[in-house]
Amino acid sequence: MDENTKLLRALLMQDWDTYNEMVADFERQGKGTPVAIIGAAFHLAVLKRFGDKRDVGDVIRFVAEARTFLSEGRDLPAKEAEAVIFATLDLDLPGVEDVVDRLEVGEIAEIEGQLLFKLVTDERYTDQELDEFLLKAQALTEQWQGQ
Amino acid sequence: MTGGMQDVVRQLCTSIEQFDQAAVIASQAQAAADAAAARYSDVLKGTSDPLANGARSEAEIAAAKAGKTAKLFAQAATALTKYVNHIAPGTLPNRAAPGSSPSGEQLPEVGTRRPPLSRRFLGRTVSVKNSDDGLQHLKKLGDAFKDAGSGGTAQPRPTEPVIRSVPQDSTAGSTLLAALTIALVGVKGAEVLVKLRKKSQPQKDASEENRKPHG
Repeated sequence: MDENTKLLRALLMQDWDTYNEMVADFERQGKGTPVAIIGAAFHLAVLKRFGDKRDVGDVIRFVAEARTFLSEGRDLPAKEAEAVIFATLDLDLPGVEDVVDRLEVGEIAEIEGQLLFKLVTDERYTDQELDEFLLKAQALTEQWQGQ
Repeated sequence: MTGGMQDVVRQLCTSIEQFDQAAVIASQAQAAADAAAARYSDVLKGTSDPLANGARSEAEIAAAKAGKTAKLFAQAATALTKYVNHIAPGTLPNRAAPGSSPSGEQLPEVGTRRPPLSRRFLGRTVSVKNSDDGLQHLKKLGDAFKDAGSGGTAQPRPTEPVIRSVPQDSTAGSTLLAALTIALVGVKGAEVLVKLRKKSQPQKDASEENRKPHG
């Protein structure tokens, strides 16, 4: 598991000691948000959750639940959150492509990360299952980056 | 994949689309030229006029060359597709054998053959390992997760048993009730009950006020 994946793992497990150490380490190295592993994990998690039915209503309900789950004043924009899921599912509904095209990669990572947290929480993974899931996501990033 | 590489891949995909379009147009030109030569032959059947026969030959040659051009365009598109998938694996679907010409019917619409939205979207985020943001976005995620409703994924992390909203009544009975509530329904459940109590409190206060003797 590489450092980016370990950092995401610490975040998803709310292992704040490890998270804080790794954030400090990343800052020393000048490394930014690990957008690739977040994107890959999000992609796999969405396909797992919604890939069979690809139902628009399910996606909308999920985003509403995620906003409640996360929000103690946090902003998770509903339209953008739905759009990133629709795009991942190839539900090319009107406006979806425009919405996702307007988002910067960092903004996408922020939205995906919050949704990923809810998706992973709902799965109730064991530690081992979470590791397996994250390693699959890491492998997907390596395919794209040509390693 | 770096931003520069993404740009290269995007431009190569555009070139492939254009080669495909050219292949279709050349195929259509071949079909039209074939049809023209056939009609020409029908009309001028039996003629020995050298000019007429020369024109028919030219039409047949043009059709053959258009067909060859279509194949060459298709081969170029296939070769480029292989290259794109070599530098950015999985970007485009694999093609049929080189030399197979896409017909107008095979291409749904000239100029719209692109990777699916999911692949283009995924490519944007997974092509770059880390963004250049000083961890700004990651820290926002950390803050969001700290306030989240659940305790975590695999094993719930123990939360501090601080009851923020239980009223600090001085009576021993209220303190005991608070402790029992927490024991039964947990911290979150206790907070929910307090909120419900607070909602009903103004109504209770109002009704008690009405019962007080006035005057």
